[in-house]
Amino acid sequence: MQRISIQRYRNMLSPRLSVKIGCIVVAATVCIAMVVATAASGPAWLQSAHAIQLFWLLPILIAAFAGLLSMRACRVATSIESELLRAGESGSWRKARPLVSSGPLAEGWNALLEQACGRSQCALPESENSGHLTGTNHLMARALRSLPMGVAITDMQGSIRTANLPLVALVGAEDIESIEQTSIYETLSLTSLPDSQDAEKRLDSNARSVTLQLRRGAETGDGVLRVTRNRLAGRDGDADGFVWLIQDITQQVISLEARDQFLNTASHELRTPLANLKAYAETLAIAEGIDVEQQKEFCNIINDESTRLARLVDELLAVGQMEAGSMVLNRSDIEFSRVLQEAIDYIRPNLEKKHQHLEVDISPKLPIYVGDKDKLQAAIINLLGNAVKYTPDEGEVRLRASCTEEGLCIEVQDTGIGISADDIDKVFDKFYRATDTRVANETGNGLGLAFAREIVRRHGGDLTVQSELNSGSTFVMLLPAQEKPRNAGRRVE
Amino acid sequence: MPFMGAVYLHGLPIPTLGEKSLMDDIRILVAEDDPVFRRVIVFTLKQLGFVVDAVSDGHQAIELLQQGRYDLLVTDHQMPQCSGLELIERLRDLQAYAQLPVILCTARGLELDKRTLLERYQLADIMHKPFSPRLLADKVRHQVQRCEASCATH
Repeated sequence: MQRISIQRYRNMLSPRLSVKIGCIVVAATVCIAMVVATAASGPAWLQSAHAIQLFWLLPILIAAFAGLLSMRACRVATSIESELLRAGESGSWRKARPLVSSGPLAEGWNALLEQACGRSQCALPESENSGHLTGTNHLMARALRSLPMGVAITDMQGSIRTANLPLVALVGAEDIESIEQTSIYETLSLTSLPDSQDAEKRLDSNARSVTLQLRRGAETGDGVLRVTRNRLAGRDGDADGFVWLIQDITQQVISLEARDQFLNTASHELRTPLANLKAYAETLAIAEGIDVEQQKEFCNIINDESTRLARLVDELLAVGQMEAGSMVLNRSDIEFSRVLQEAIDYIRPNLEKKHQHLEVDISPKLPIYVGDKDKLQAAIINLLGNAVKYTPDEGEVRLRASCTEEGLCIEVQDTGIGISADDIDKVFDKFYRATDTRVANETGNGLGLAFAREIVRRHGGDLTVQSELNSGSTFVMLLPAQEKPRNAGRRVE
Repeated sequence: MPFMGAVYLHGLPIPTLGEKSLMDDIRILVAEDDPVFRRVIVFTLKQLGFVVDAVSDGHQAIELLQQGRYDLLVTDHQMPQCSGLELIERLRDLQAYAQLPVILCTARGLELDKRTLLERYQLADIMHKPFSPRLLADKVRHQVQRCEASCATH
């Protein structure tokens, strides 16, 4: 209401062009008449020849001033005229440009153009001239095309006025024309989605800015959109509407869910050894009637559990690095026979505890390999450790290392419980432990193999498994041949 | 009721002869997949004088439950093959164990909806790992007392 009254007031203050020029001419005529009358009947000193000469000059000045004023009054009209002429010459009315000026005439012209072209070209800073304005428009149009998100402009009812190409691709339409004038609610199928009720409620609200997250199906993999709806800024009236930003955030949501899953499992895995530590320590501290042997055993369990916890933390960090893709390999020259011997020494106590036999067959002609010694060794220890863990007492574990055409091949074979066909595809998954009760009876966190395979893959190789239930498993670590080993001639210490 | 007189100043009191005769009748089944933790729970409960059997997953637990009579079940939440909740669901279908008090141990944190679980599975209690064995002992004793009390009134 207030805006309208201001508009009327301004209309009153700026009368029509003809009235303006008429007023100027009348005012000039009156001024000249007064000057002449004063000259004819003025006091005696005015009658001198010198003064009369001046009096002739005055009407000329007044007439010139009136001329200037009329030209100024016609300024906007002249601009419109020249735009029309330009458009006429080029043969297309679309060439006519909006004016950068205030006043009802200029605004009327701009509104006319805007309606005719169906585009808003008027809302630009006054300091820019009209040539610059079309340049900016082109740039804006290009920017909209290059945005990684869909943009649509609708009226208040949601009917699409225009959209950019990414939106067309996002909704799977053929071109912009095919979705123009359709309802954005239908185009995005907002009404038939799993969480449409909540969406409708939010969109019905009168908020200036609404942001929604929409699933396009029952599963996250079906797609998730982030829809932001904002009121169009600027003048009220026929340009009212919404601008919509539509982003496909499926990948982000999937990775967030994976992270949550990982955190959940990790905290679960951490609580298990913690629970053991607490339970045994407390039992030792307060329970009565425990003999010395049992006390010793409980202390050993506490020791084992702390080792398990520490290893778990290490592996969790490594897996976290794997997830983030930030694992760094500290490459150096590796002499594999030495690395393997160290791994065997590390595992030997467990081996002896179970009276198992280890058969070692390391080819003497292993080449110097460039890789991360510590991580590869940890991977080999994991494989050997598993072989010992899942092979019954008196069983046999074989470690073979050879150099083939494909590269360096390290094989760990056991005569253990084996892996069932159901489990074999999943043994490399993080936190996966086979459903076999003989596996459940051993401590483990399901990270060792995932970690080992990631290490080998980061070196360009692969870790594979062959297994038969109840007769044993063979893990094969293949590291690709390196064509030009650094410092090929030098022995490594 | 001799039970009410039990004072646990130092956590796990050695049961007196009077209590022991009662405790002997109480049979507890423990289902827990981690062998180390299973052992300490069994140890704790045996110290109290209960008769304790232990299994490593839900299937075995169901088998044992069908074979014999148990007065209380202590089960882990996550177990391979048959989880604790599956076990409880199948347990409630058995006529004899529809009202069996069950204590659920879980390594899950606060993300668990405790109230819904308690109501839906009619759990006696939920214990979050890591927990003190003394606390478990207290809860088990509490359940046994309640059981005794209700048996006495009926």
